[in-house]
Amino acid sequence: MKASITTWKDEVNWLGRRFLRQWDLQIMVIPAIVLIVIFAYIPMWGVLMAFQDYNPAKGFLGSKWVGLKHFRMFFEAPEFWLIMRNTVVISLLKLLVAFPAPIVLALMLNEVRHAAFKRIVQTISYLPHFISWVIVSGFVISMLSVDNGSLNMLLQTTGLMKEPVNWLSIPEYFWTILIATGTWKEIGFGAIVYLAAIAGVDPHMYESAAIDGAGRLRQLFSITLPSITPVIVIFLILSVSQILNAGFEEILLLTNQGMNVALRPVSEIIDTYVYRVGIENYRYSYATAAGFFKGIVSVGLLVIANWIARRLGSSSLW
Amino acid sequence: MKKKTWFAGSLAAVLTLGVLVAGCQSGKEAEKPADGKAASSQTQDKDKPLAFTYYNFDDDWQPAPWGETVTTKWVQENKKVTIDYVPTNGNAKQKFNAMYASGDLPDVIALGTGPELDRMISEGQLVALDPYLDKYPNLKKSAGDQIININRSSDGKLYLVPDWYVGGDHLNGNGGYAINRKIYKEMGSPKLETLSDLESYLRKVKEKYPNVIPLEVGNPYAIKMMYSAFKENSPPFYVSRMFYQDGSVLKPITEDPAFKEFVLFASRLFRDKLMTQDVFTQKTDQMVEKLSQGKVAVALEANLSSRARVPNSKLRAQDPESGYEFIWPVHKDGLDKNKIYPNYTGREGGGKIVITKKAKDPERIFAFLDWATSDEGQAVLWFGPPGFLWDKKDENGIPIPNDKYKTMDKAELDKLHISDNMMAGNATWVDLAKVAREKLLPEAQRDFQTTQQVNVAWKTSMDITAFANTNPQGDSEEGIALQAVKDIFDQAFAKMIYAKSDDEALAVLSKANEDMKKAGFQKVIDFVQKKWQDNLRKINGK
Repeated sequence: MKASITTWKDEVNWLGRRFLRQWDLQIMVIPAIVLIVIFAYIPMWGVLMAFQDYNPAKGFLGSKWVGLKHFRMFFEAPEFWLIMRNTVVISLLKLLVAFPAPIVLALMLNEVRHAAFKRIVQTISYLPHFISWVIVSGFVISMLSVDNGSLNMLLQTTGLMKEPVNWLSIPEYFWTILIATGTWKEIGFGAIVYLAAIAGVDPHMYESAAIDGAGRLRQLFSITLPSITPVIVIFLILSVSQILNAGFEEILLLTNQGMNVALRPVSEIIDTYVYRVGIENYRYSYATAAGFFKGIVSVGLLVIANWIARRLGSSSLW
Repeated sequence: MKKKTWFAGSLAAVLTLGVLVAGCQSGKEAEKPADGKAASSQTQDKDKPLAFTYYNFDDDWQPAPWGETVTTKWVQENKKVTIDYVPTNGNAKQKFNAMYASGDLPDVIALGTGPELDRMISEGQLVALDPYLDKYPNLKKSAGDQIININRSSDGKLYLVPDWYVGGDHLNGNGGYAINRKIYKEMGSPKLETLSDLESYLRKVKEKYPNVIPLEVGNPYAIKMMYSAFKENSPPFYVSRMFYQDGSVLKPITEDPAFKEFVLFASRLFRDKLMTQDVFTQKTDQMVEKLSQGKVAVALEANLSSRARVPNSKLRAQDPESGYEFIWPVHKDGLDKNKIYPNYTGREGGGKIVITKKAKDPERIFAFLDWATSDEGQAVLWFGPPGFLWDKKDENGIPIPNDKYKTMDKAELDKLHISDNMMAGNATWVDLAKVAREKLLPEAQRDFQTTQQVNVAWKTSMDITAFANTNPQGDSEEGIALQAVKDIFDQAFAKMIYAKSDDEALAVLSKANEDMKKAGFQKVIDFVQKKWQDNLRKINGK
C-alpha cells in the first residue's frame, strides 16, 4: 500500500489527467464560458463610466476621469433617501408577502386530494406568469380607474361605496396594489418549485407519522416544511440578493411610464430613478454610478444572507 | 462511443463560434466606416443604387418596409434609393442611447425635439449640409431662409433637414375643445365662449347626465391647455416649459398671475368632479374608449382632431345628430378670442433629419432628402407615384385625385400604405394638399380631422419658432437643474389639481415656486432667455 499523503504535484498531475480524460465534456463547457465572458465580464468594464464624465464620442480613453463625483452627486441628491426608502420597503414587502405566498399555495395544493381540481388550480394560478407586465399593468390601470373601472363599479353596485375612489392617485394604496399585483402574477409559477420539492418527500415518513397519531397539521409542520426547508432557504438567499431590485418594469408601467407623478414619492426606486434622470437625460456616468452602487449593495446583502444561512446550519449557496 | 464524443466536440465548437459571432458583431460593424469614408468621394455615380439605414426617433411611426408599397417601389425604380429602417423596438430613446453609446449609429436619423441634436453636433458626429444647399435647391425653395436659419447650429452651420417644417403663413395644430353634439343639442345649445360659460355648462351636464364625464381631458398636458384661456398670446407651451413671457423677459410661470387663476379654475373643476378623475393615471386608449361610448360632453386634448376621429364616425353611424365638433377655444371674460392659442407651432419642424458621419455618401443622401422635400417628392411620398391615384397637378402643384382615387374603397386605400414612408415633410404643402383633396368631396364625406383643423385648430395655433432649440443639455449644469425643477413642478401640478381647497392649491403653488428657485431655476431661465434672444436675431436676419 502506498502512503495516502499526496503532494501538490501529484494533485496537479491527477487533475491534469482527469481533465484530459474528459476533454469532450470540457469542450462542451467552453461555449458557456465564452458566453459569460462576452456578455457578463466584458460589459463590466462599462462601470468605468461611473468614474468619468463619459462621452460616447470620446470613448473611455478620451473621457475625463472625475473620481467619485457622480457617486457624491447621487448620495447628495435630495431624492436619495426617499429612493432608498422606497427601494428597501418595496423589496421587504415583497420578501414578506410575495416570497412566502407560493409556499403557502404549494402546501395548500398538496393537501388537496381531488387531482383534477388541483391541476386546474395549478394551471390557472400559473398562467398570469406568462402575461407580460405591459398587459398586466393595462388590466390593473383600467380596473382601478374611476371611469369604467370594474372595481369601482363593483363596489358601487354592491352598495359598499357611494363615490368612486381614484385608487391609483392615492400614494398610500400604491404599495398594496404593487405587491398584490406582483403576487397574483407570480404565485402559481413560484409554487411549482415547492410542489416539486414536496413531491420528493419520502411518503414513508407520513405513514409512520400517521401511525404515531400525527394529524394533517402536525405532519405539515413536522415533516413537509422541514423537508423542503433547504429549497426555501436557497430561494430566500437568492431573493435577498434581489432586494434592491424592487421591480423596475412593473413600477414604471403601473405609474403610467412615470406620468402618474402623484405616486412618485412612494414609487420612485433606484432603477426608475436611473432610467428617468440618468438614461433619459443622457447622463450615462451618473446612471452608471447609481446602478453600480445598487450592485455593490446587492452583493453585500447576498454575502450576509448566505453567511446567516450557513450559521443557522441550513444549506447555503457556497 | 468515439463517434458520440466527436459529435459533442463539433457541436461545442459550432456553439462557441456562434457565440463569438453574436458577441462580436457590433465590433465588426463599427469597423466598416473606415473604408466607407475613403470610398465616399469616388461614388458620385448617380445611377448607382443608393442604400442607407434610417432611424426614426418615434415609436408610433411604423412605416411599411421600403420597396413593399407602390410609392417606395416607384422611388426604388426611379430614384434608385432604398432605405433600410432600423426599428425602435418600442423604446426609441433607449434604442438610440444604446446605438449611440456603442458608436453604432445609423446613416440617417430622424430626431425629435430633444437635446440629442446639440449633443451630436458638439461631439462632431454629424455631417454639415451647407456645401450641398445651393447645389440642391429644393430645401431652400420649400422651407425658406427663416426656417433654415433657425435650424442652424450655434456654429452657424446647418446639420439637419427639417421634418414637418411649416413654411409660409400657415400654422399647424391638432388640439382643442370639442363638444358632444348630441348632448349639446339636448342641453339647448347654450353659448360656450367664455370660461364661465364653460363651467356652468359642465355643471348643468353633470346634474342632468350623472354618467357622463362633463370635461374629458385625456392627460395632464390637456389640463395645461386651459392656461391659454386666461391670457392672450399664451399657449400651453409656456406651462410645459415652466416660464412665461413678460415683455422681453422670461419669468417662472409659478409667478404668473394668469397661471394662478388657471390653477384655481382647473383645481375647482377637478374637485367638483367636472373633469376626468383619471387624468393622471389613464392611458390614451381609455380616453378614446370613453369618447367612443359618447360618455363625454366636452373633450379637450392636444391631438383631439385625430383621437376623436374614429369615435366621431362610430357615433355618427348610429345617429347622424351625434358625434363631436370643435368649438372655438374658450377665453376669460374681456380677452380677445382671436388671441387665445391652445395650440402652438414651431415653424422649424418637429423632426430633424440628420446625416451621421457613418454615412458613406452623405451628398447623395442629401440629394435624395432634398428631392423628398420638394413639391414633386412630397406629391409622390404623400399621394403615391404619378399615374396611380393622380395624373395632373393644380396651379399650386398639388395632385388632383383621379377617378381611381375617387371610386376607391377607403379601407382598400388604407391597405396600400401610400403615404407610410413620408419624410422631410413640408407641413404647409401637406396641409394645403389635404384641404384641396377634401374640397372635392361632399361635406358629409369629408375627413373629421381635416375639417376640425381647417375650422379651428389651425387658426388657434401660435407661432413659437423663436423658442426652437432652447432646451439645455441633460448633463449640463442647467440641464441637471432643469430636471430637478421639472420634478418639483410636475409633482406640484398634480397636487394642485388634487387639492381639496383653493387654499391648499395656492399653498402648493407658492411652495413649488420657492423650491424651484432653490433648485436653480433662474439658471435655466437665463439659459433659455439667451437662446431665445439669439433665435430672434436669427429670425430677423442676424
